[in-house]
Amino acid sequence: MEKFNKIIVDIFKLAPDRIKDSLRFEEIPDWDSMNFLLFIAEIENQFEVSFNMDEVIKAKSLGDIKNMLRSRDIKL
Amino acid sequence: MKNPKIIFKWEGKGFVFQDVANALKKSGIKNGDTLMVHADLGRFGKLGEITDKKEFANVFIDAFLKVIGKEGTLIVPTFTYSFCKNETYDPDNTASTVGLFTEELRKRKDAFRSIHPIFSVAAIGKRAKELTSNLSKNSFGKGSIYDKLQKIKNSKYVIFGVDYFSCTQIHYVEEMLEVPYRYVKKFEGKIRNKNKMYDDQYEYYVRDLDKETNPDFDKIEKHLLNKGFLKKIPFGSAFVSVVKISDICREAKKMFKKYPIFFLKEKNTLEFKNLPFYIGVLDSPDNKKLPLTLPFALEFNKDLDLIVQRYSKESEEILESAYKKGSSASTPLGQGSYSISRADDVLKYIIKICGSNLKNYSFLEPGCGYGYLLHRLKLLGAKKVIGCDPGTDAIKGSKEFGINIVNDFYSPGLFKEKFDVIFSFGLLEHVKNPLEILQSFKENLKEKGKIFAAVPNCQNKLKLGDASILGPEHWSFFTPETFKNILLKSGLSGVEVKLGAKDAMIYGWGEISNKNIKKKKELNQGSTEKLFYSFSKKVKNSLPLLQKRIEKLEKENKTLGLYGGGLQIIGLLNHKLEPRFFNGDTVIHGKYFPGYSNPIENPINLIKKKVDELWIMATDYDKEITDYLKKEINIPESTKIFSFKNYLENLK
Repeated sequence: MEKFNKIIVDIFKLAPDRIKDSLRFEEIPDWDSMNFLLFIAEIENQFEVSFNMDEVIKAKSLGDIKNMLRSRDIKL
Repeated sequence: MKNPKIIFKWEGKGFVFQDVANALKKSGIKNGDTLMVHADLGRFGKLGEITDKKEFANVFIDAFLKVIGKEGTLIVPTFTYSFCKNETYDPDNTASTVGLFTEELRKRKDAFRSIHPIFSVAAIGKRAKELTSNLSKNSFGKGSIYDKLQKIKNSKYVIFGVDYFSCTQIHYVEEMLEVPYRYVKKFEGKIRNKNKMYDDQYEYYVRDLDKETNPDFDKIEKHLLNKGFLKKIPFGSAFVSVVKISDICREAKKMFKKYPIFFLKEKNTLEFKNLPFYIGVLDSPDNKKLPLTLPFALEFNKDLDLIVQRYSKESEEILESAYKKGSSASTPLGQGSYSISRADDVLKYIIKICGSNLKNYSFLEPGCGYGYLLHRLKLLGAKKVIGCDPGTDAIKGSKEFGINIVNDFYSPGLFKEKFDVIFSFGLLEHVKNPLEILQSFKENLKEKGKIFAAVPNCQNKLKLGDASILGPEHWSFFTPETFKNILLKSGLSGVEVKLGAKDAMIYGWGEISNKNIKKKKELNQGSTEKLFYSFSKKVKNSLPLLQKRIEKLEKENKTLGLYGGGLQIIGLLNHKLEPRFFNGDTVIHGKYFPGYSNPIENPINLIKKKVDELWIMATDYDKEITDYLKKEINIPESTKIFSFKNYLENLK
């Protein structure tokens, strides 16, 4: 859990208390296409997984990303 | 020197500057074009070799500039909504809120930005300065950037990686056409331009949030694609779409005129605040203290694959009370000019299923009303007949025919014994969940017992857009296909469905089976949802024109007659005139529709006391009625006949 939140804080400069599953990407002030690519790359690196672009594009919230990790048997 | 780094990776391939330029060329962008670009750079693939925002965005910007050349112009939205948020707008410093591509383009030294505290744009290229200066203070209308763009011959709209048809140009068309679901709202605030700070006022053509106004540009995208005006090519894991702005404006205007809510999301319900509540003609205009109208919403139920009335507790309670008071939706079988032949039609099918020798069959009819069908079956030699009905007719019929009718709503526990056949006529459309009641029938059936059910066939009227089928008393609106599916889903085997006389009713039957319920893939589904949307659209289109027609009659002090129903339709129109009602069924002559003081008349009265306009409302019998009126009754030529059926068929 801490690893996931740390990536978000590092990339989006988001206060930890604002991180919640229901947070939609467009609600994150520092969200843009480059940060999005960096975020996905960092998640893949640190959790040692690989997403396909179809599922990446469908994700709309932090909870969606967590579900993608859970579907790869990663416990959060 | 073009950036040689990999910008993004997709399916094992690294995409570089030249790949972007090639994709743009392939999508139809040419040297000298003026482009308005909506971009999402995060959709094409995963992170490549670039991690710096400025560098990343500028590879794409440079690729665009290379393809359009020195004669071209690249424009992007840099919307800030500053005045809407009570913020000062500074064209040099206020950041774009619509993406990295637009923000980095705005920050380039060769870029120009318009002074618009809500919908600014930034541009680079030959016409950049001209297109970003002297713009009007409205948002999308005359003198706006969108107005300027539609006048330029080689102007194109580009959707670059965005996963929906994000096309602000449509709002220009909406503003020029003054669509009813948007209005001009003024916003005031401060603008800081270089060293000058001043107050100003700008207009935003906003959506009317009290109306159903969610934009939907999927339809216009599909239209442009189908007509060959829009080119959409895959690029990485996303798409690049290009369309000439003149094509967008022309086609959007055309489609709006054809269908005024073309740019809005279709509602998944068809709603009426006040739909006439009619479940039977009355002996006097008094409606037995029942409401004259009820709110009504039609929707598509995916689980049942059925067009249904959205559940409302209010309607359910009122209906229950109405049924107990003896109301019935149609003339009881066995009474009136047409209902004996309707009963004959039903019996023909029951005999077809059971054979002509009924002495070994026991029958149960839930919702039997007066019990006429049970009476006929008894005369035909049935071993046993029993019915149930909550209405007062049940008591009358039971005495008159000497048969056992339980005066209550059906529930499996009402009967301890099991029957060979359970049949219903005009019942399943009145119950909230027809599947559940069909499944509950099985509890009162013997092994290999049969179910036979008859429901009104709504197919023709749904296809036509005839709103007269709508009524709070019906929870389901069946077609032969959906009725068959419900019977199959209930677990019956050997299911057959046939249409009755004049296609008015659907008869369906089957046998109880211990086999598993049919799997979904064996059912023929899919067309009902489309039918629901086309019906909703036709009803919405037909009512405003009928409203105009009735207003014209009122203005000219003309009289109106309605032949063959029409209560639901007239009830949905605002009118002061009192229409007269006519019907060929003698049994209802002299009776009343709730809320109307004129009784239902014999059409022969049209000669003695004529009407100026006669609307033929029964779309199923349109031709027969017209022939009857013209050839047998010889109604005066001065009476103008208006065929509701023809009107709906010719509606564009």
